[in-house]
Amino acid sequence: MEKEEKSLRSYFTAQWKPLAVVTVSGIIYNVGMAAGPWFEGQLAQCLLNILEKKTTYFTMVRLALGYVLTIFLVQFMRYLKRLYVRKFANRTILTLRSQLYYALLTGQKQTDIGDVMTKALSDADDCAEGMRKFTTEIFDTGVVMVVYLCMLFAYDWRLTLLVLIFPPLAYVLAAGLKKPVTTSVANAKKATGELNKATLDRTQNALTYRIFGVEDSQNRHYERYLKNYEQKQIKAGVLINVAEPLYYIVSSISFILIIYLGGKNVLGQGWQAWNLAAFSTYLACFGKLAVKSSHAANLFNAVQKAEVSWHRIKPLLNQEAAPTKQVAKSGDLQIKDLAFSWDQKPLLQKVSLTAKPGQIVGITGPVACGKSTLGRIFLEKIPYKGSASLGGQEVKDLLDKVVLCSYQGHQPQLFSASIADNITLGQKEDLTLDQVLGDADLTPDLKEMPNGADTEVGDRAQLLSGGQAARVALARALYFKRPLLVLDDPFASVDEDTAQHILAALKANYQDRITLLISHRLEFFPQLDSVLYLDGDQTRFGTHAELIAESPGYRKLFEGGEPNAK
Amino acid sequence: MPSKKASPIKVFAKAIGHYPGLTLCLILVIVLDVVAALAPPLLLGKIVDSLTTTSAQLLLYSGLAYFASLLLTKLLEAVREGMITVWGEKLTHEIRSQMAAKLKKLPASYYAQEGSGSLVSRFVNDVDTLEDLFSSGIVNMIADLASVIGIVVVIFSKSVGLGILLLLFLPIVWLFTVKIQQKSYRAQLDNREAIADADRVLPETTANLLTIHLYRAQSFMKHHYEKILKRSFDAMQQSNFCDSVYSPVVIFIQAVLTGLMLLLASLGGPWQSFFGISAGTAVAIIAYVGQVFTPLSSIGMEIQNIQAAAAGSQRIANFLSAEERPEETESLGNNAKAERSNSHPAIEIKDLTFSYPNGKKIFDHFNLVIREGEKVTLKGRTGAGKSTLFKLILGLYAPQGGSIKILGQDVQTLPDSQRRQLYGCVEQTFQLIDGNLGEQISLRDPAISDQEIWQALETVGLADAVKKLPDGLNSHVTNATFSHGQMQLLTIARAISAKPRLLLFDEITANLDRETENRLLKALERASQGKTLLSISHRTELLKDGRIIEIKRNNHN
Repeated sequence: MEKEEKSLRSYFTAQWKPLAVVTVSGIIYNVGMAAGPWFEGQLAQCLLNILEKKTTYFTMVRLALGYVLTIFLVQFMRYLKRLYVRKFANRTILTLRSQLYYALLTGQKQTDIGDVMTKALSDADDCAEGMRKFTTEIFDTGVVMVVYLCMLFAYDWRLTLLVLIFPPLAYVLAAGLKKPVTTSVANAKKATGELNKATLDRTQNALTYRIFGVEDSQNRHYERYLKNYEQKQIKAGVLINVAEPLYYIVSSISFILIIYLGGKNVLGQGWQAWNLAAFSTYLACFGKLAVKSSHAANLFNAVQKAEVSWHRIKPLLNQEAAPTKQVAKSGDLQIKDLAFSWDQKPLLQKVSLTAKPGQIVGITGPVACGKSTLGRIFLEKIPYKGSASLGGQEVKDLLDKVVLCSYQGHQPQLFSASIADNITLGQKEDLTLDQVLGDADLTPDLKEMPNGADTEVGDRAQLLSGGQAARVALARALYFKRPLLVLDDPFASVDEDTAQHILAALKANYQDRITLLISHRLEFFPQLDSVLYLDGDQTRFGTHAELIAESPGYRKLFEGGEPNAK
Repeated sequence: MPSKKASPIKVFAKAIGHYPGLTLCLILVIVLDVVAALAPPLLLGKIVDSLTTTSAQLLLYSGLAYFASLLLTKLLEAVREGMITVWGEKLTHEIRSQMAAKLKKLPASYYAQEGSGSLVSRFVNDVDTLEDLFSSGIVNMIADLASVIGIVVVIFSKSVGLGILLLLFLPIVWLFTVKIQQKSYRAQLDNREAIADADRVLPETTANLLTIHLYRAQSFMKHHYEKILKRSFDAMQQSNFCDSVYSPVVIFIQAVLTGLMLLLASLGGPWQSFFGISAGTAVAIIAYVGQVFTPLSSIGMEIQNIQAAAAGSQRIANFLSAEERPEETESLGNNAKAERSNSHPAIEIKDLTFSYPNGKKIFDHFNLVIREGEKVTLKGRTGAGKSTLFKLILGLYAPQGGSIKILGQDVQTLPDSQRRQLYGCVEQTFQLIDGNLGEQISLRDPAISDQEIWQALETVGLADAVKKLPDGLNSHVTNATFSHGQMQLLTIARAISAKPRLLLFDEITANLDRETENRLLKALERASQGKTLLSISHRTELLKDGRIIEIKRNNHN
């Protein structure tokens, strides 16, 4: 990924093509805006001339045709400008959203789902909307204001200088309102995030709330967030909406001067000699300018709103992306005197084991013996002491560069996609989908589903049973060939026949990797190549028969008792 | 699918009905504003007419008067805008409250079908579109339409022929508007659907980051997300086209009309009486034509908002009229309460027949009686129907035939207020809610005191661990606060905090090591003392004294 810091400007430069179309069509359109009033004046004049028999009907036909064609050209330019500005904004939303999503994929884990959602959805939209408005108004306000200003100066430059004192005052007012507007918009955004979080909580846990009969309490709780949201939105909305009329009032103080001084011009007592038409045109022109300048002040706020959003998402977009790691090479696993303390209490001690590809190592032990933690040292960096090496390289160091294992944990971690997609994740591996489906004993389940492996698992795998979801996760762990296969409690929610089927498949078809089978169901352990019994300083490694002979704790556990029970 | 005809109008009417005073005030301000807006041009006309005959002194007063009329108009506009905001926010608040109330009435199957992503989208995105509409579009449109009628009347009074010509053009503009609207509407619907799907991907990704990193699925997920975004992008391009093309076409039609009017007006001869106007009137009519199309094209500008809101409100209306589960019956509940001490079985299932909507039959005339105080374990292969039976007992699904009674009460009509005292359910996984530790257990139920929470924690053996937390019951709980086993114990504490008479344990031993399992079983033994216990298990040895019931496909014992 590119290293340079992302700025709002970069989204403009990235799309210079549509913006070039916008610029050309925008300038032609806005300069052409003056053509309409000019033609309309000519049309009225022509009608007067025809009525007074000074010209012929043919002149009117030519003029009307010219008028319609000119408007067509100008409006076509307007269409191009509008379409491309929107294209630009739409593309920006797409880019922003997918960049935010990529940040989520590669960055640190975000705990605040509701906030991530608001950021991704609402802020990206606000940003793009602010950029669209900014781009539009540069032409519709900027260029048009220049055209109108030229006309005003041409009619009476002294009056124009006086009259132009007031529109800038509107900008001063806008600047004064900047802080309260920014604050209230930020507060409203915060309330939106909180409300989204509450919405997520209310809907995702709806069935839990139902079975406990507390839905009324939840609705009352949710109502508090709604109330807060309403108040914050009203405050921000009123400040923004009330601003524009206020700007207009300030700029229209000038009308007093125009009517007084311009009227004197018509009376022949002023700086310039005016007729009625000049008076009307000047007044109309200034009226349009005042409206435009009040829009411009409003635009100021829209840009600010975009800035607030931008500053919220900028850190997310600019955080460093972790590169996708390579898969480690296969090799022997060697653990020697591994120890790990958690919260200053020793959890794992004197752990040693060796395993070659094709072997299955059962890992068990009494409660809180650190079985799951041992499994996780191959997933994430855990500061253990001693050594764990794969193919002669230390696991801790390997984890920075490569992926060591596939893993089935307590949570199935499925996506709202088809069963097949959940297993292959769009990747081609050595094994076929059918093979792993069979090995995870999913084939009988698939026969009952309408679309077989293409059946959707639904949101949070709700369309599968808990056992089916676990076996889909197992099939995925089997599908991806890694030096290590770590299965944390794969038999937790399957019956004995299924468990036996899976174990047989593991032994027959996965000779290319080392399998660590973490389990508290020991009935299958005699069939495994070796067993690691974790129990503090009583930790032992050997074959099942060896441990039965040497380790009273393991023996007791195997016979169904508690190793520590006196 | 909606059971009866879902009308967005009804939704609005109901919400507006909650704020009659505010709505009346808003209407009053709008009327005042429309009337006041007529004043400045009128005043300006008078000033222009008298310009050649006036004095400098009078000019100054005219200028001040004109400014005063502008000030009044704009102040009223500011008040109007402010009130629209307040009104819009109150209405959207009301609609969201109604939607929250609806959540309670939806059957459990709705949640499985729709998924939380699209529910969230209904609450967030769809209501947002309404909020946008309330805060700008709708009110201004009404004022605009009123001014269109005024202008048509004025032009007719100047020239009947030109008036008729104008009336011929209005339907053209109208038809064009409708056509664009339809196209835009379809695009908006597609966009909303795509956005709802995209919303679902985010929380899912957060929860499954480990898997994504492990299987190097970053680019798959990015592709997956972008595919959904692209759908939204394409739909947006459609509606952008509509949005861009509308207003330029309308202004072009306006130019054609203006050109045509002046051509007809300058025909002279026999047409003079029908189309003839003076040059002054021509200037006025050109201005009027501009004015009559401006409101129409500003409606066009709002097309996107209006269409989005129409699509959003239709979905909200569908949601609000979705089929509801049977209502709880409080009075019946009270009767049953009195009877409860009599010898009703804890659970009585008679002739239960149930199949899923996809036709998979789970129970066929199934019967089961569990007496008070019994400990019963359900056994069977995955997918045989153990969890389904639980959901039926919990009243989440309605059986197609037969009945399920808890202590003599039909679970389908069991009132919420009694639910927790009757039974507690230990769910398969701990559902972490957005709240502090106390709330994790009480689920914000005001009837459960801190003392009861501590008692529940004591029973499951978590009290010491909680006392060690800096904020005790007020500690914020995340997935990292407790170990997996402790989370499972919290699930039990949640289930027993209201001291129910019947406990349901779903797959109690899943995902736990043996010692935690033992701790859990001991906690369960303490918790279920003197209570009826029904549990799901894959292994039979766990509850030594209990009765074991085998659940098979197509149960009909």
